[in-house]
Amino acid sequence: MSSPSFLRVEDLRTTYHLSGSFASRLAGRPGASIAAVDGVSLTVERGATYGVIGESGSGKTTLGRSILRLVEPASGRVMLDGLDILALRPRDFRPYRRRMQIIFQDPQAALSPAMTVGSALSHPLIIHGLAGRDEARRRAGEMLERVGLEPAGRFLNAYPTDLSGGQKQRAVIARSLMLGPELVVADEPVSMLDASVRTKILSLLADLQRSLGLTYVFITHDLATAHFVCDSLAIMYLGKIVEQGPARAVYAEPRHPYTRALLAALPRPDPSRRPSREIIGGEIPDAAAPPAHCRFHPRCPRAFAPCGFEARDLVDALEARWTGLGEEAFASERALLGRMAPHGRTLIVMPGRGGRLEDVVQLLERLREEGGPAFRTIQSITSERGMAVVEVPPGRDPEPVAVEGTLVACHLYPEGAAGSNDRH
Amino acid sequence: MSDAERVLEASGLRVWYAMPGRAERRLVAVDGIDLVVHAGECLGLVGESGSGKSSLGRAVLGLLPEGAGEEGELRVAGSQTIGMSAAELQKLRGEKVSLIFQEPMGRLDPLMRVEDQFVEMIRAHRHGISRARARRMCHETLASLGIPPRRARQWPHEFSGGMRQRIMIGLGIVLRPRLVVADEPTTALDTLVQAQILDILRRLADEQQIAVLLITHNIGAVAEICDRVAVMYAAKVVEVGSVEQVLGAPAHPYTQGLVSSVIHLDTEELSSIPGSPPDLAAPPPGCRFHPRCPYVMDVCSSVEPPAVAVGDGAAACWLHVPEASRPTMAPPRGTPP
Repeated sequence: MSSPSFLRVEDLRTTYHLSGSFASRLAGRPGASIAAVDGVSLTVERGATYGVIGESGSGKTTLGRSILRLVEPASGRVMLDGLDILALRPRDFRPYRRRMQIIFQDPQAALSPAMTVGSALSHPLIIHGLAGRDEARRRAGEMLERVGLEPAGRFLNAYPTDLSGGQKQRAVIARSLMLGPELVVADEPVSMLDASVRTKILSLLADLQRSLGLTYVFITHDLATAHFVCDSLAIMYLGKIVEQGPARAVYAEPRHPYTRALLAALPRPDPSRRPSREIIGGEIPDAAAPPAHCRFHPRCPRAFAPCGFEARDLVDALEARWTGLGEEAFASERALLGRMAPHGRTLIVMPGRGGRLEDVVQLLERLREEGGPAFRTIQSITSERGMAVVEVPPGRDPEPVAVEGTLVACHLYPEGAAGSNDRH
Repeated sequence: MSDAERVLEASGLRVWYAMPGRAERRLVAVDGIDLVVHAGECLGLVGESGSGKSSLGRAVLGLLPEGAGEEGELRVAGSQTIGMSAAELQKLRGEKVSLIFQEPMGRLDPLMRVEDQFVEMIRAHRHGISRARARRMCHETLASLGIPPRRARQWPHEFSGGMRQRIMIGLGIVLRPRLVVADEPTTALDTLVQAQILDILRRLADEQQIAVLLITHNIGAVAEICDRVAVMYAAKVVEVGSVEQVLGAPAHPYTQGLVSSVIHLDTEELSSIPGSPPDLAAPPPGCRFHPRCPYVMDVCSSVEPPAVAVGDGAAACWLHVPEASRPTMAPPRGTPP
């Protein structure tokens, strides 16, 4: 029997509840809930660095905290050395907490301004009953030297305000290592630091990993840093992993259109290679009403029928179109189309004041021919009782498909047809 | 480019702050800087935290806080701004120069619809403009930035972060300023939205001939959209020149260290600058970078290097001064303070 992976996350889901409006609470209606992490699975080998990459709202921070049970997931499993730590009662979980620590993004906020660095580092040992006051302080001094805060004597008595940004982050790292963890979740550990300090902290993390045999879950929005640091990684968008695999494979040939967009948007430090890039429009949508099926489809330049278009996507696409039209063209289109009512996959369009239904249908037909991905998916346009009725076909969830060592959740890579199946 | 109008021109600009409790001592955040931004040009001002780049930006806008002082030449769209009254500065901002901040939400009035904020701002500066005309200007500006004009009647909180940044930019450019100062405009934004906003700034320079001063610690953003770049270290500009030259073949050892510490997709080895930036209340003598410089020479620790022409720009470093022209150094006397 082969030994289990060090860390295995299976179908993890973490939800946050919105409190809803006062009126709905009064009426006893529950608020909506948001799945910040929605069915995430990944495997991290011992001693490796696993990157979780995403923009804000992608769920990457919630995923990191769920793995450590700093927030309680709604369902799924987090297996550490083959044991599901989510199933443990809080008391049984406590010894595991020592094995898993977190480094936060903002070292300023992570250190109490009223506590010396020495106390901040000694406290975990004392609280867990692992050492007395003097022993804890001695070990705190050792750890400070290990993270490059020397002479330790000077830093033990220092307050956070006495330290520079880089020194604070070193102190935060030292504190996270006091209990001898095996797994460290580093949540944007260098993103608030200046470039020249950033590389020093990354070197330190690499040294500590080698000397202490640490396993890292490295959370970041920066693909360049992840490229340098990670052995494997997952790209997240709105709570789901869209692509994952060995870092080398993902960067050599990014497959998901979102991964490609992120890489294309990465500023190149060498101006002689300034690419004429295509910039993806839009922003991460509201997680309380995420797009159906593939959540990236409204922004995806390569989206097509199965990706999950809905009537509301057509309304958004129309508005995006209008901002690009000249004033006259916009005015005439806007006047022609009256009220638009999206319901699921059906969009009902009334002719505007003085507009004729035939012209409305003709405009919609034209958009289906020439418009962007959303319009191209239109299945039918019919006239009914003075209204145009537009239907889009049903979509389906993209399941992760193995493609040359990576897992891609995108309809461009259909199940059973693994390989480089490029549709457009 | 040198034929184009000089929209921003600073020479010998100094900005200082009084240090609390020590009235006789000053913290000099900008120490004798020369800088030019032409119409239609995008100049990147890079430096790490505490280098003085934001103080420079605030001085350009006449937005220095209480207790700060400035001297030297600072001309914005032809007017010397040092010594201007608060009312004159206010008029200058919005009409000739505008600012794009890092956090747009803090700068929009949460209790006012977006359209009303435009109308009020436009009519405060251009008294003759009717409400209807101001609304039209608002809608045209929003549309040019990719915001559907129908959303103009919405409140700031109804917009996403990237949309709010566009609205901020819109408020800044609706009166067609000559200069836009963008202070870390993309730091709080996501990767893809960041690319969108940078693209908008570039288009302001190209399509409206606006001079753009991009203040940032993000070298990648500068490489992406700027024509020229100025590098600040400890309150001084240490190097200036075309983006191709300064980022491609940096002349100053600090710029070299800064550029090579940027992590990009081809990074194979991490590189950093030893030590940390000096305390601006007590900067080192001579070249301020000398305690951290791998090429330090005797002269560096005692005499401040002049700005020397290098390629299409300049660098303030003794390495670029011919040996014969460097001051001869007397043997060191005692220990430095």
